[in-house]
Amino acid sequence: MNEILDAEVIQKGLTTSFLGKKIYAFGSLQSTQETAKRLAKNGAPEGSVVIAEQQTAGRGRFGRTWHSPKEGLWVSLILHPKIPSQKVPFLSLLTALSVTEAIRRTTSLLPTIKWPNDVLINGKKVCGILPDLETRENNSNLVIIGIGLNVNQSDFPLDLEETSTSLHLELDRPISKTLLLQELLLRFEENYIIFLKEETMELLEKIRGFSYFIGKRVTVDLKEKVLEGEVIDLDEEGRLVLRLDSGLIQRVVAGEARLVR
Amino acid sequence: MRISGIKNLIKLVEESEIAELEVSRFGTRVRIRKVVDQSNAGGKADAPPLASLEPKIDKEKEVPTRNANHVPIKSPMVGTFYRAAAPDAPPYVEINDIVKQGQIVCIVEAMKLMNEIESEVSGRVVEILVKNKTPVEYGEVLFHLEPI
Repeated sequence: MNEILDAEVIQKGLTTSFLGKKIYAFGSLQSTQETAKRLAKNGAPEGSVVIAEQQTAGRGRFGRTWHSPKEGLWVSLILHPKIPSQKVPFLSLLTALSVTEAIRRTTSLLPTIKWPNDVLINGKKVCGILPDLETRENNSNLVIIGIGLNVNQSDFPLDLEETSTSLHLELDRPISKTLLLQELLLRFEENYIIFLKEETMELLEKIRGFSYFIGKRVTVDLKEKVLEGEVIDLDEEGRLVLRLDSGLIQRVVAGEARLVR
Repeated sequence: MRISGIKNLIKLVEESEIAELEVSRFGTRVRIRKVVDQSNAGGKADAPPLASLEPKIDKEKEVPTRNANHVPIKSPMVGTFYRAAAPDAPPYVEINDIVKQGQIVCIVEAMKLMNEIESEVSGRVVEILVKNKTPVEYGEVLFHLEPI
């Protein structure tokens, strides 16, 4: 049986102050991200949430598709943070933190954060996060954060089987998407308020505690070259701090990081 | 000037006491500067230490005409510069394209956040200063536009 997400039911049990006060719920959308962008441009306020039972053209980065059947949770958050653009990427980590916390509070599972924006359980991806930013003048940013959470899927297409998992598969039982979404919105709002107060050290402490990479050896593909070294920390801006074999310390802000096995 | 010639010059500078060497030939100018102070090498290093030994080549004939009216589009953050939305998609803009105010001209990515950079003016693209998929700094000029 599939649980239908109902905006009224979600809001009834929601204890946030602004996130999710406006929920746009759809049965089927091409992509919550595209719909959220359109709604934001037509005046949807800070904290509006777009959800869909399923996405027919869910997308990842660089036009990749994201498998989005009705068993998952497909959400886009609309935010207008009044902060300098260069601080906005931290929201990738903040979202991963909020998803991790929400799963830990609603289940017995112990997900970790794979820098900067993947949430893993037992080494497999349970959640993908896609933050889009449009910078306007005067620090007025439009941020749409797409969150794709594998909740009640009991199987995956062959090409995803090796790398993806769901909460259902890990727990061996389905869970309530409504409760999970309420907890996720609450965790996100709490962390977002801390972020806007520029108290990111508090958030970093929590992120470090859940980090999949710290203390491990990784390669980082920077397109023009590949770095290899040990992850020793995350810095105050959330960048990956790498100790290369030469002893040099390198901070990484972009690129694909992978564990060296 | 051939690459092998430049390599020879780098070797010459490396093996000598010279800190900087500039050679001009057939309209091509090469300047090689040696960074002697490596005392900070064990600490924070955002660029590989050998980067400064790479020759800086200015080919005067390749510098497009630029005038004071041209408007720069700068990167609002540190990240990776992408000229297209997807690897197989055409670039958002090419040289000589006319862009409208608010049109997306590129993406700068940091920590998987995709920042779609819009042009603040309408104009013609006269210069693209950064190569696709390369790192950019905060405030670095990405394009020059001739307003229309």
